Amino acid sequence: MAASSAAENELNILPSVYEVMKSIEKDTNEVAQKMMELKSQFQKARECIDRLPGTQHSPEEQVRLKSVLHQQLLIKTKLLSSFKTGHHFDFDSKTNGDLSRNSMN
Amino acid sequence: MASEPSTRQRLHSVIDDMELISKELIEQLAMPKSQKRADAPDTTDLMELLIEKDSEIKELLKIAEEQEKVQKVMDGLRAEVNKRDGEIRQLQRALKEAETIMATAVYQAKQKMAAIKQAQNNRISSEELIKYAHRISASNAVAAPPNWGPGDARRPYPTDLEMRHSFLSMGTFPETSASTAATPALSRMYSQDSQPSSQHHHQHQTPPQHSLPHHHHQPHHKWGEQPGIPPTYGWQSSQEPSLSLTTHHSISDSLKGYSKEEDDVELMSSDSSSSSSSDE
Repeated sequence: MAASSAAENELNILPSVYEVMKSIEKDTNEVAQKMMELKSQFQKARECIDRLPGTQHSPEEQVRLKSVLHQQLLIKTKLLSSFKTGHHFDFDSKTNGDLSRNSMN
Repeated sequence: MASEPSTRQRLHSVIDDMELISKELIEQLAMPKSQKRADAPDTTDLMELLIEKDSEIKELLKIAEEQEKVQKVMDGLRAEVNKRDGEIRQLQRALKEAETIMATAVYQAKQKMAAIKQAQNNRISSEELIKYAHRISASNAVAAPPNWGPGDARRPYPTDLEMRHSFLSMGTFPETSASTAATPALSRMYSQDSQPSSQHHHQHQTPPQHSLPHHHHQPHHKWGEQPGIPPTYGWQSSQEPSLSLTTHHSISDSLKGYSKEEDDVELMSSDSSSSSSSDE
């Protein structure tokens, strides 16, 4: 949110264009300077856009990625809880403790 | 399926459009009216386009703000997933270690089971084992006699002297009858048995049936009493009546469960292990 609010100022280019137009109408010596400012304003806008977090994906793609991450987290949490608390050994009551030949092979 | 452009790409696209429009607008304003092209766009239209692009940027910025919130949630989820990954890797290591330990334990258990099975198939009676234990300990081979001390020439193994007088060196074995040995040395040895001795009991005159070498030297001679005849330092030679009684008996007698021999066996077996390591 901080990045996007800062980007609003950076991406507000119309005032700079207006300044250039006014200087052209008045035919002052500041036209070149205003032009340079407009150019730098565009450059700053591009740099600000690159810094905006989360904009590397479209909104739909981002929602899909979020659901994928959520699924991954659920699966891995379930896996960990099952290994830490669940029983993983099958005890065969028929051969438990039996020293017969079949169990010794 | 064409992927949708990301918000960042759309913003860049709009900014590029705004730059082109503003350039065109400034050129139109800066150019004198006489030099204007006929097909040049109207400045009013350009300004309206510029305003439209600016509103588009503002909408995209609102979308970016929402995406920023979602991104924060995703970052939290990703951190949790990474944490779970670490725990899973740790659990995997522990399970692998447990598998190794249990595989080793199962292997050793199988070996023990095989040994148990082999023992069950080849049973040996405890009486037979005890008899052999008696035989071994009766010859003082596992513990020194109680009266043994440093300097005593007796040894738990056949000495050179005993071996020279043995039947192995002479190449003949004694007969089972009561006749004396064929060799002169043995006859001399056994002749000593008939002489009175204050130190030894000579109850057995016939050459015994032995399987152990040191049993051949049952006659006991004291050093110095019989000049010309080498002394026997048999481990079994003893000044004690109990032990000499034991050594005079044959194997068959010892296997009969002679009670005094058992007492001697118990006495000798109770001793600590012999530390005699010096040789003659």
